[in-house]
Parts: sequence; C-alpha cells; structure tokens
Amino acid sequence: MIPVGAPVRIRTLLSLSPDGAVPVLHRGRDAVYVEVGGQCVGVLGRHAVAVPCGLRSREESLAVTGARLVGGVLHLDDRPVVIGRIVDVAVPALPSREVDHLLDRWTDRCLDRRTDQRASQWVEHTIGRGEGLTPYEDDVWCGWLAVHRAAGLATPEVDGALRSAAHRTTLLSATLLECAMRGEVVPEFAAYLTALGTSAETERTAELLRVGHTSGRGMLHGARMALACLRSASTLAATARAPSPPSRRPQLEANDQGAA
Amino acid sequence: MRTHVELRSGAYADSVTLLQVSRKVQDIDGILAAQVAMATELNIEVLTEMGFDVPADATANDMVVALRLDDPDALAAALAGVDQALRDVNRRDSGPTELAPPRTTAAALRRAPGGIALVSVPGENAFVEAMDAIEAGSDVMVFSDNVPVQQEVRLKEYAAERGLLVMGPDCGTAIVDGVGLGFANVVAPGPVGIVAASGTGCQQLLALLDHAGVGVAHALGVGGRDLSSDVRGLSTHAAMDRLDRDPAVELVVVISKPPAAEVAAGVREHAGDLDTAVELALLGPGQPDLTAAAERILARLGRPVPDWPSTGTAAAPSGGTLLRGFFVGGTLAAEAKIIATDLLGADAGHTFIDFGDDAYTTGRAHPMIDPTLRLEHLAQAATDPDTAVLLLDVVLGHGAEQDPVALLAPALARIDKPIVVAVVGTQADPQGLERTVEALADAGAEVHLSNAAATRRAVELVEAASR
Amino acid sequence: MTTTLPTVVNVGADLLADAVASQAVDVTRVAWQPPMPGTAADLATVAADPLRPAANQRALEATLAVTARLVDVVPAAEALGLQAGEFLHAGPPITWDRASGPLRGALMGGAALEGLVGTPEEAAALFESGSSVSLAPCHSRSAVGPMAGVITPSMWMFVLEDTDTGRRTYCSLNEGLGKVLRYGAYSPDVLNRLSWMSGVLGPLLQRAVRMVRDTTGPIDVTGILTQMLQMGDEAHNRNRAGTLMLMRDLAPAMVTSGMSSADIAEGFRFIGGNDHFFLNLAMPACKLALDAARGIEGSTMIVAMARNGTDFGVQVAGTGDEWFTGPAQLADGLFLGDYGPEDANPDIGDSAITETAGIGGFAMATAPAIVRFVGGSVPDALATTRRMHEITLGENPRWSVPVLEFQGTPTGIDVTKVCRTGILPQINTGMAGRIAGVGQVGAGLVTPPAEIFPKALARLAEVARAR
Repeated sequence: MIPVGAPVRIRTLLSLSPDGAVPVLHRGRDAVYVEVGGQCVGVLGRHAVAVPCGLRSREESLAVTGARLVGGVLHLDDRPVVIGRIVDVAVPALPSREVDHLLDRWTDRCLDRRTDQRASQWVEHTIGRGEGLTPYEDDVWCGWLAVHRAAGLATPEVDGALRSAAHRTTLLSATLLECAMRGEVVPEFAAYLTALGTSAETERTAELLRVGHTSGRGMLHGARMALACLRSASTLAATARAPSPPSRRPQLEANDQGAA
Repeated sequence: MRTHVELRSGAYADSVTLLQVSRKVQDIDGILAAQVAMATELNIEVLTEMGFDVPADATANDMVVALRLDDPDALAAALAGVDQALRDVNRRDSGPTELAPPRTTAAALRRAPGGIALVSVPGENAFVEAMDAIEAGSDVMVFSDNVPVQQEVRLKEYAAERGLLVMGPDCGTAIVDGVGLGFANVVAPGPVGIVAASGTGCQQLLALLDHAGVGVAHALGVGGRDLSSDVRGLSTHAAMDRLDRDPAVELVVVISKPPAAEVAAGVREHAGDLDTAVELALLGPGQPDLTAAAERILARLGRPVPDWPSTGTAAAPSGGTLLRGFFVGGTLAAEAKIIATDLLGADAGHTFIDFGDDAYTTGRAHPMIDPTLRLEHLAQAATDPDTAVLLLDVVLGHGAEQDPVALLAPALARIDKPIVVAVVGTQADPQGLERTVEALADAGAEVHLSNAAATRRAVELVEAASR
Repeated sequence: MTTTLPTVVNVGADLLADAVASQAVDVTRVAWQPPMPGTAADLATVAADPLRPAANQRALEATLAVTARLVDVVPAAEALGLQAGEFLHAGPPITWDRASGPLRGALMGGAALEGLVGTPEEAAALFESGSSVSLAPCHSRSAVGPMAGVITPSMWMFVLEDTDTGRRTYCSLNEGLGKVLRYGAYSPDVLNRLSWMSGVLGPLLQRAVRMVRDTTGPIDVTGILTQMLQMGDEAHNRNRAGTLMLMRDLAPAMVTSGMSSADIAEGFRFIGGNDHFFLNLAMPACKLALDAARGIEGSTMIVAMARNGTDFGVQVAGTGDEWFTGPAQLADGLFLGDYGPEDANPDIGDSAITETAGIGGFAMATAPAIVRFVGGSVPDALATTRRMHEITLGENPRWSVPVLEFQGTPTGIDVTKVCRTGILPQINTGMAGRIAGVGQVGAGLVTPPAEIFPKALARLAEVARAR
C-alpha cells in the first residue's frame, strides 16, 4: 500500500466517486496523474512538485500500469493509496504588514486583467501556451489568481473566461487553474507569500523558482503582476490596514471597486 | 529534409522531464529541430507555424513529438533516440549504500536534522534520549511514563532556554503541523490550537470539532503532570506561546484536569497576555464537560453547534441497578464518573474502570491496541444480575487497533442488557468512523460521538432500570 | 502551512513509528538498546549536568584547533627533566610485579642502557627491590611511547608544540621492526642500536629539525596527517606515506647538517627502512590535540586511551588525571609466521592515542590495505568508521575520509555514548609476543574492556552531583 497525505477536497472527491477503472493521463518516475470526476488527480512521489490536486507520498519513484477506484480508495495496479493525513493547501492571507512599499517594485508590470473583455482577451492569447506539462502561461494565471485569493478578492470575469477556455489546455493544467481559483497552492508559493517583506524573501523566491522547470517562474510572474495591480486597488489598502487579522480561509468579497 | 510528427498519450509526468527530453533529442545526429510539448491549441498553433503537421485527433493531454531531420534515413535512429531519452530521464540513480540504523536520538537527528523526536523507551532511559533532542535543537514528545519528576523539570527548563517544546512525559497524543504522533486522529487543518494535558480528552475534542466542520492546526500534548506544582506548567506555557505565534491559529484551547491553584492562576494570566484568544477547559467536578467545552469553542469561533449524533437504540433495561463503565481513555472514564456521580450519587456502587491505568497495563499493551482484558470484564459484567447498563468508549485514530469492531461487535451482540458506546473518531480516521458506528449499532448498542451525551443516556437507562 | 515536511525520529516502540509512516511522513528509526547494566541512573545525572553540552563543545573545538609542529629533538633528560633511575612507560600506572613480559624486558634493557646495571638480567633484582628506581606513565610527563613505551634519560625525543599556547608533547624515536626494546628485547644488538640512535640519529635529526624550523618554519605534523589519511595511511598500523613525507621535508637539512656523509646515509637508511617511523610523530601530535581538552569541567570526552600490557586505562577531560582501568584485552587478528593466539601479550602501548584522536582504527575506512592485515574486509572497514561516529562528539574538518565522501574522522569519544550504545572504541593494533624480546607476533582488532566506561561515568556523575 502507498500511504499518502491528501487535501480535504481530494479525499471527499475520491470517497464520493464510483468504483471502476480510472484513466491514467500522465505517468512518470515522480508522479502519476489520473482522471477522476472530470478532474486531474495526482499521486506524487517524494521528488514531485506538491501540486494541490495531488496525493502526496514518500515513494522514491512510481511505476504504474493502470488505476482503479474501489470503495472510494484509489488503487495503482494492486496497491491501495491510503490517506493517512490531511494536508493544508490553502494560500495564506497576505501578510497584514504594510505591503504598499513592496508592491511599488512591480507597478510597471501591472496589466489589469479583471474586466470582462480584458479577461477573455488575455485568456485567449495565453491559455495552453508554453513549454511543459502545465504550459507556462497557465502557471502565470495560477500565481495571479492565488494572490487575489490571498488578498481576499474574487475575480469572476477571469474565472469565467478560464473555465470557458479550459478545454484548450491539459486537464492537469485546467485542474490546477481551478485549484488556484479556490486559493489552493503548492507549499513553495505559500512560503513565498508569507515571506514577503522579511529577510527570508530572497531564499523563498529562489525556492519557488526551482519548482518544476518553468512552473515556479510562471507562478512568480503571475504573483508579481497581481501584487502590482492590487497596489492601486482600494480594497487591498483597506485589507492591509484592517484591525483584525484576515480569517484563515480568506472570505471572498466581490471586487466592485476594482479598476475598470 | 523531412518532418515527422507523432503523438504519445499517457505521457511523462513533469515539465523538467519534457524539457530534458527536448534537449537530448535536439542533440541526436540528423535532427535539425525538435519540439516535445503537450498538444494544447496554442502549442499546436506554434508547431503549425514552424511547419509541422499535427494530427487532428490530438488532445491537450497528449504529448507531441515533432522532429525536423536533414537526413530522411535518420528517422529510425532519431525515434530510437527519443525513446531512449524518455527512458533515461525516468531512471533514478541508485541511492546511498545501506547504512546501519542510528543507535541514539542524537545520531538520528544528525541524519535527519530538524526532525521532531518521539521517545517511548522505558521511563528510566527516556530523559537521556529526550535531552539529545533538545541539545540538537528539536522538539520532543515523550510518550514514556515513569519518568522521575526532577528529570521532567530539568528537561523542560532546558527546553525553555532553547525555545523548544517538550510534549510529555506520559503524553500519548499530539498533532504537529497536521502530523499525528502517538494515538492521534486524522483532522483537517483549521483555526483551533489545542494544548492538552490529557490524550483522550484531546481526542474527544478533535472528534467533536471534526463533526462540526472545524479543523485543528495543532494539538500539543504537555503530559499528565505538567500542571502540577512541581512542574508549574512549563510545557503548557511554552505551548501557548507556540500557538500564539502561529498565524493560522485563531483560538487556543487549554484542556486539563484542574491544576494546582497557583499554577492555574499562572495559566490564566499568561492567557490574558497572548494576542490570540484563549479558551480554558479545566475539567473536573462542577466544571463544564468536554462536550460543553467543544460547544463553547464553536460559539467563540462563530460556528453553529450541531446536534451531536447518536446511532442505534439501546435495549430496554431489564433489571439490575448498577452502571458499569469500561473505558480505554482515562479522561473519558473520569468524565463519565463525574457526570454519573453528579446525577446518581457517589456511593451507589457504579464503576468506571480505566483499562489504560497502570494497574491494568503491566505486562500487556494499552487497551487501545489490545482489547482482550476489557472484553473479558465486559463478558463478566454482562452476566452479573446487578449490572443494569454497560457504558464503553471506542477510540479511533492512528496507533489504535486497526479494526476495533472485529471482536467488540460480536461480543456486544451476545449481550442482552442495554449498552451505550461513545465512539471517539473523525471522518478521516483509518478505522472508518461510519463503518465502526454502524457495526456497533447493528450489534445492538446505542452509539454516540459525545462521551458526555453517552454517559447521560446511560444514566437515564439506569434510572429507568431502577423504576 | 509550512514548506518543510516535518520528519520524525522514533526511539522506542516500532508501533509509533509505523503510525507516523502510514501518514506519508519520513521516520528515522533509532535501533535503541538498553544501556550498559547499572548505568541508567548515572547517565541521567550526567545528561542533566548543565555544564555538559557547552563543556563538550569546548573540548571538541579545543582539540580540533590544535596544530602540532615539530620544533626540536632533544634527550629526555633535557626535554622532560628525567633523572637517573626514572623510567617512563606506556599505559596507566603499574608496578614491576604486575608488569608483563615485553614491559619488563624493555625496563631491563633501559636500565642497562643507562648504566644502572652491568647486564639487563641484573636489572630484574633492581626493579624488584624498587629502591633507586621509579616508574611513571609517559602520559604523566606529557609524553607517549609505542608498545612498552619505555623512556630513559638518554633517549632522544621528538618535541611537538602547539604554537598558540606553547604546550608541548614528546615521543621517543622509533627503533624499527623485529627485535627491538619496545617489544621487550634487550640483547646487545638492541642496546647498540639504541646507543647509535642517541649518538647519531638524535643529533642528526636535531640539526635538521632546527634548521627547518629556523628557515621555513617548523614541520606541520598535523598537516602531514591530513595528507596521509588520503594516501592509505591510518597513522596507527600504517604510517608509510607519513614517513616518506617526513623524510622529504627533512632531507635537504639532513644533507647540509654538517655531519659525516656516512652518518647521514645511515640516518636515511634507518628512517627509510622503517615504515613505522612516523608513528612516533603521529602519537604525540594526537596527544597534543587531546591535551587541549584536559580539565574542562563537565566534559565527558576521553582524552587518553593507553595500555601497559596488563591494564587498559582511559582518562576523561572532566575528571582530571584520574585513570579508569580494567584488564588489557587480547587482540583478534592475523598472526605472523607460526605464531598463534597463545603467543600474544595482552594489549600494550600508548598508540591508542591515535584512536582517541579519531584516526587509527577509527579511520579504518581510509586504509583498506590495513584491513586484510588485521583480518577484516573492506565493508567491515567502512562499517567500523561509521560505527565510531555513534560514540563521538563530532567530526574533524581537516582529517577526512575520501571513500566516505570526505566525511571528517569521528572525533571526541564520549563516555556517555559508549555506555548508552555498548559500542566500544575500535583499535587497530600490533600484537607483542608475551615473552620479552620475541617481537611482533601479529596484528589485529582490539577494544578496551567494557567495564572502564561505567567506572568513568560513575565518577563523572559523582563530580556532577557534588557541584
């Protein structure tokens, strides 16, 4: 058997999914990705990127022919994948320290993508483009979305456009975009946001850049663009100076004051 | 010159791999250009612009291998090269040669720096191993009991100097960053941080909060003696500070039996100094029980209090006057005794046995692992005409036996008297909370999540039996 | 949320480790065993000593910081103030009546050499009477000697100095192989050779050493040891590369020393023909380093291991000059020619100072050639060095083992770790014949008697309690 740690959502998804064979989308030494309920679920070895749609094992490597679900438990060939622990994939709230001065660094990269028209345009020009199993531009979107969630902001236009275009990229990437819309991130991204403005920022940035081949770079790119734009959003200013710390799972507020 | 395009499905799982394959393939003799990428619409556009003809049935989950060769006869070799590159990238170098396992905690922490130490060697040896951990800069959980109190104090003072945490001695349950140590339930991460001088008391809280949809960031055990006047709450204070510093924790909960008066005062004062809100659940006669404590926690978090579930119905009472409680959890036994005594009086002859007590565990494993002794007592009590009602707990989670119902359900099914069971577990516990509850209900027991509720129900049945 | 997954070190019940592993968390399992019988309480006392961690750190650092330089070669009378009738010997204090064959033979030869008696045979009566002669360990006079290790006033000594502190240690010149004084031989050949060494070799080396010292700076013996370890020497049983490097460093100065060509040539022939010549520099270099830790209160680090052919003794940093002794053991290994186990004398010599400093048997992994000589295999050699890391405080950054990925040699034997693990320091040694003068009969592996470590621990505990 393969012990794993799982995000709550994946555990629930598997427990509610019917028995039967499960298609294997991608298989490699460090991770296997299958399709369950129309989304991509990974079984990750110890060296794989800890994506938020994955079950995290400590296996040195994985070699898999087929997969199936039995009684809510995923099986890779004969081996049941047993969830022994629940992992936290939520993006942390942006630090409530003064972040304005940080964001100055990237204002030149502010390309506000949030209105209906802009959103569809941007999505059309980017989704599914680039190297890697998760195309680079998709990773940029993931970083962008996650920062908005960390700031407690919803992005309905972008979400809608991405969902409409999801079929134009890999299922894994589409799933990761959904994760990002829910504020679910890889651990390195969470660590990077927590370290903003502290002495650990440089190291955490370097660690994020090492994720995947281009994924980390993409996520960082998207994160910085979002941080730059948020500087001008009055909603963020209010959040940054809020007297009480943001709640653990950021409550989503409609961004009705966003720049047009 | 010619081009060659082919699709591969079930492709290789990471981007680094794809890029490495691309690079290797480009280096193969006879290849002018190579692209290995996922067949997304935009990538297909790019390939098409480069002059490659991508098959129409390509889906985004397929990998495309597109080659431009200057020598058409080189194709076979080129494709073989692609295959080899894909195989090579999936080979892992053999790891380091087998090392003999470390012989001390110090040696182990040199190999795995930053690890948390979990010590369960005999009590007279535990201090030395735990000191290794503190010296190496690691927190330590001491599961061992029978550690002399002076050693506990020295250990905790040394840990305090170094900003580290000692969970124990005699600590059976902890959850640190989502990892369960000892007897621990599987919980979702959340806003609660628990400091617990009692293992099963903590586990009851975890179960109730889990049912209410509230997660727990950490549950830090401090050992049964931490809040005594000898130890003065050294670990309790350190744990409170640790939770206060974690931005994920919105409410700190301290659970324990009532500590020595001056120690309790110190805890209250410290609680007042923290930035994070603190809920003190110091159990005992006249104090709120664990379920009431859980309800207070939910209220403070602004979360609704659910109906605590019960499944099945106990048999009708049929004689006897006594409540017989058989417990694996010490705090659960104590809670049941307090509640029952309050309602039924102290000297009526009702019994509450804690099979985890030293008296019952010499020479045998803890009852959460080995149910034999309790099952024997249960069988005897069931045939005793004085017995009116049987009350038990079943504690799930890591460390506890894999299938507690295997022996217990058939044993209960053979009993005619009313049986009430508190099953303390979470939805994700390895034994399966739902199947455990159902199996026991099918065996004729009335099953509750709340031990307090189970106890009150048992008391009701005893009173009905006496009438 | 944290990026680094916590890892767990489990020491004790496997069940607890299994529960962690089932949560997909790495667990390092300690192969724990109870400590040496009767040591549990003392181990706890010493572990609780607030001075211990810092004291051990200081002891290790002080040892590692020493660079031993060869500053002079002078007779023992001058170097040590040794008087007529005074005899130094290897190992802990001993009286003539308890001395073994090789030591008695060496003392008798030494008495004759100094002219106290006409023939060595007459010396037995001299030592039996005990008047006008005295015995003392080399260690008590900042010296070390291999095998019998007998030092008399006319013998010339290497002088090593720690330039930072001016501290010095001393060792005699190595006579070579076969029938030599240190194996208890006292024939006219032996005494003649010793006379030549005092008359020619000593003065020759003095001139050369002083010339080098005063022109390019004193020879860095610690530096030669660094290089030797990368060249297949472990500095106890194999000193070939060290000897050659010493010769290279002294050669020009020997040639221009002003002594006759015949003497110079004889000097080269003598040194070049003795692969063990450098041992007599390795030993005092190790002593010089370890002496830096002597007297550090609270330190449990061993600063000397030595044998006199009857007893094996250790001295500890935190217990002053006290010796903790037990019976010297018989080595287990291979025999030369027709010799067998019944021919071997118990363990003898100060050369275990090399193991005390982390080389010799501790660095076996770096000297694969030696393992066959002592009856082992290459994997055994690697495993031994790795095992020694379990009982030492740290690693030597200058002395490293290439095949173990340049891991530093295991340095600073900790009495408490020996008692906890039962792992005894591993020594590579030559075996002397039991009968005086027979010479070397073999080579093999030997350990101290286990009982000395609880004795040392008990004293450390006593000292800690008294503080």
